[in-house]
Amino acid sequence: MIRLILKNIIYRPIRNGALILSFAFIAASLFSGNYLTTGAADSISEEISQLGADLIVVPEQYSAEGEAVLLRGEPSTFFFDRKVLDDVEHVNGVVLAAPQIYIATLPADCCSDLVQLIAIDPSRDFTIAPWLKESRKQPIGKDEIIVGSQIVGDVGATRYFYGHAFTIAGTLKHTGTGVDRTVFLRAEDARVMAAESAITAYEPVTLPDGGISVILVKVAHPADVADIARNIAEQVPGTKVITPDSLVSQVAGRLSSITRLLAMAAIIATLVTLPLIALISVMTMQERVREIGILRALGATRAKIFGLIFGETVLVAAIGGCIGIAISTVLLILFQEYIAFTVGIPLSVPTGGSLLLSAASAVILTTAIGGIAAILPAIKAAGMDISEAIRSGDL
Amino acid sequence: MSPMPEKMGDGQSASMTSGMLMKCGYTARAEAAVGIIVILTGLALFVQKVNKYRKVLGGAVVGFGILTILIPTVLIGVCNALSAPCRIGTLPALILLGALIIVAGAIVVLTHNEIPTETH
Repeated sequence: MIRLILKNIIYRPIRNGALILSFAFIAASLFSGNYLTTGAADSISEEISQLGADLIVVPEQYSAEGEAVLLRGEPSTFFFDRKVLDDVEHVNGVVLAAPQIYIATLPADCCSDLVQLIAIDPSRDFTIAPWLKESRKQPIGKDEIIVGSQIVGDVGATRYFYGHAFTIAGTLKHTGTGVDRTVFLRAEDARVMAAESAITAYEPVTLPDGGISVILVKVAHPADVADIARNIAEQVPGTKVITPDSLVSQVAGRLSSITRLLAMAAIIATLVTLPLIALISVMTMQERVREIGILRALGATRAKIFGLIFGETVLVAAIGGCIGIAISTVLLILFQEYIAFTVGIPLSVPTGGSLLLSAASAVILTTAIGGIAAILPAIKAAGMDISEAIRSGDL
Repeated sequence: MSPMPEKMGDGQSASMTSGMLMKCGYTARAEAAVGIIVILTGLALFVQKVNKYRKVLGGAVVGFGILTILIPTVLIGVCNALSAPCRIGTLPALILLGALIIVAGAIVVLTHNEIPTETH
């Protein structure tokens, strides 16, 4: 029967080609919305796990800048007093607190980007320390930097920031977030660089004494993250706490207009396609009345006729769904950076499991739409009278 | 004061110094040239009816498609800046276009496989 269905599909290439395109559009719209949401969420999870923090404490007035650094790698320079570190450490449930200093670099020329420098305190750091322990087996040295995956340069290459020469000691793995455009260095090297910048750079950078930009926090029990975040915000005035959940919900907010648009496109396409498919199925059936009659006369059961008409549309829908997903995957991967940059969200290719789940659900939904549209014409064809069918229709 | 701020490195840029064309500028010129040749080859395919020559033209289109991809990725490149429009927009668009050109050329080559009939 499959061979007969395939032959029928190939026999009407234009009609079935148009149907396949319609189903491809529905599947692509459904899949793209899912891909963007899961890709952004996976990206944030990857970043949080790379940072190794359960919470990030930022100065209240710079919370937007802090989130922009984390989500989009938009470089910023901001500070708050180091004494906040002691206050955060004393909050119940906080196990580790690591200060970081954020310094935005200067643009070098027209086709350059700003880069976020993050100065760490090696004695307290838990962000790149595990990576250093695993990959390099030694701590970050004097004037050494660890760079994000999108920073150009191999290990051993020299990079200048504010006129100070640094050597690349390692490259972190890709996350699709701000970390990819970040350069990690030691806080003491950052202070030397800042002190020299009045002479070596055209725009010096000033680091206030004891100033820190953010505090990365590890908590005793990850389940208590929300409570501890609330306690920090209450007990340490002038701070805002960024949690992985707050980052995800912020990205979801940014994506909502796009996902809504894609969902609307899928709904409209379905509403247009459903009656169209039903009409085409009826037309096909009318054209094949005599063929159906002969098949019935040759011994084909009503169930077989039903399967033939129903299977044809379902197979067309499944082919269209697969094509739509393949095309949208290629486009989404190719234009990943463009989408991330224009929408202002972190984005990476979703993990294999969630990618498969999104693809499977889009194909199943598209196939179901095809099935719903074909069910009535298929029932009608199966219920046809043999002698009347042979007499009335064309072969 | 340093005349060239921060030397190279802050923006990881290696593609231009003042007065010179950026990498993406050279890529744009090369791609425009390849584009013109692809259009001319397409026109030749409209005119040419002999299967053998159509197949050769199809093969050439495949070659130009490969060139379209190689120019911004290997041969010349684009700006190193991470958010440069040429890197995040033009580069993937050229890869996509190159792939489509290769597919189009391959279709021409594969659909002209029949053995030419003998003429007297």
